[in-house]
Amino acid sequence: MRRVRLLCGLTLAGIVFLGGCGKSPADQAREATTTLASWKATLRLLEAQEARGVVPEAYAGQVRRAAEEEREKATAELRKAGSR
Amino acid sequence: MSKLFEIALGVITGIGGFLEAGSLTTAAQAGAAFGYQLIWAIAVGTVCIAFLVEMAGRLAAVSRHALPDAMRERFGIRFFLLPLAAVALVSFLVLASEIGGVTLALEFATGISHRWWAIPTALSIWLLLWKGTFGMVEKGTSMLGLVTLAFVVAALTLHPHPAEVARGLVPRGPTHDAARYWFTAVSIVGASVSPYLFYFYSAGAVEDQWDEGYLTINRITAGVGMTFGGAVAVAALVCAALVLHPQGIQVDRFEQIPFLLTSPLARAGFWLFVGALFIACFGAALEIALQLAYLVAQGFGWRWGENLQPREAARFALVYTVVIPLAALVILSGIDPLKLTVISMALTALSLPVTVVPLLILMNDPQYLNEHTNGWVSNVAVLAVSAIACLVALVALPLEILGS
Repeated sequence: MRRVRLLCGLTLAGIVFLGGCGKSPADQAREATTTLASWKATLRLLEAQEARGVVPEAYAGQVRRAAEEEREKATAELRKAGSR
Repeated sequence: MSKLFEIALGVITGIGGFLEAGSLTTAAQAGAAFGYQLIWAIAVGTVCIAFLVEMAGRLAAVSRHALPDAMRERFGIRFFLLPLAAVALVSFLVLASEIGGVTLALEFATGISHRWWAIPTALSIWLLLWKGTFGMVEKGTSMLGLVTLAFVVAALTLHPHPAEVARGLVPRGPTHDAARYWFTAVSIVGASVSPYLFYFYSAGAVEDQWDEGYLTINRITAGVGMTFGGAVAVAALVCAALVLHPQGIQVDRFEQIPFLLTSPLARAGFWLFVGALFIACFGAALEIALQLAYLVAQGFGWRWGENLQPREAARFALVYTVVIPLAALVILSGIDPLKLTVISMALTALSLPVTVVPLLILMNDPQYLNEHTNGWVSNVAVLAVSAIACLVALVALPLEILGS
């Protein structure tokens, strides 16, 4: 039983330690910038395919909504990282 | 002739049933972020699952025991509760992510939000299990699952450089973003080595009344079927590496994955993607819900069998009747299906030692396997992959969850 408790304690400590070593503001800013660039490229690809009539209109709308949501999240992350 | 037919059917089942929400998502993320660099992770996962599936089939054919049944008998009910809890938890999360995959396919096809589709999808899965037979669930969905071969056609259309693809088979460290690289690698292994695959296979072998005469069929089905199945996952990764990676697109949402097929196959590619996602996830959801019922019923010694009428195996039918709507509720709650899928795959990798080690002990016990016990190659390969995947997941998972 003591061994089990020790193992659980060590695992928890490890998780907390790793959580503490989470992303620095610089890393967070870099990730948010990559996300923004990725969605910009996604919309470029979508527009090219829309022009060729490759993708249905409804799907194009879904991608645009997803892009908007993710861009908002990434912008907020960028602001948060900047204020730290 | 009949044996050849059974082998062909088994191989087709392996190919058609391999790709699902987890393997598709992780392959797409890997290809988009790291090009061909993580092909080795699919290869490692495929070899490992081929060994595990072969073992589960051999155990069933020689001992006539399904895996949970043999575990409870060999280790006792108290120990068995540990793998039962681990397999049940990860299978439940994977079931939820497969239902998420089906609902997203329906959203792509109709434009109606995927959350509206959660309940109708759950009802359809439940109805098919309630009314259907084992053969229909296993063979039917896998045959339809051959639509996932569209990824192979798309990859060939994109003309990948064979030498560069082959280089991806050699494991190497990341060139950038190490934490994401290892998390994706471990998620790929988790997606390939989902416990539901070999637990379901073992129950299926008992349902089909396999005996020692099936050992060769089992070996070929597991080896060839899983290898070709893994090749479909590699094809999805290659598509992502050639379509998304050069443009700097990373996969953050399911909405970006259809580009894998629309870029090389145009409009037909979009509908092939919707069909492939729907069928692959629907088939996997059927198998996982059924496997959860097998797991609990076999583990507690209840009467079980998909070929029985629900009233003849009431507690068995009750398990899938409960888990399917619960999993649909997870999707209904608004959780991001892609995040759920990726975290489920990493948790699967984390739980591997708990789900795999008892199987290895059984596979080395002559009381169950007679002269058909494991050789050292399969023991070492499966143990090494499980241990390494678990350790990497232990480090990568908290970084992914708490670090973001």
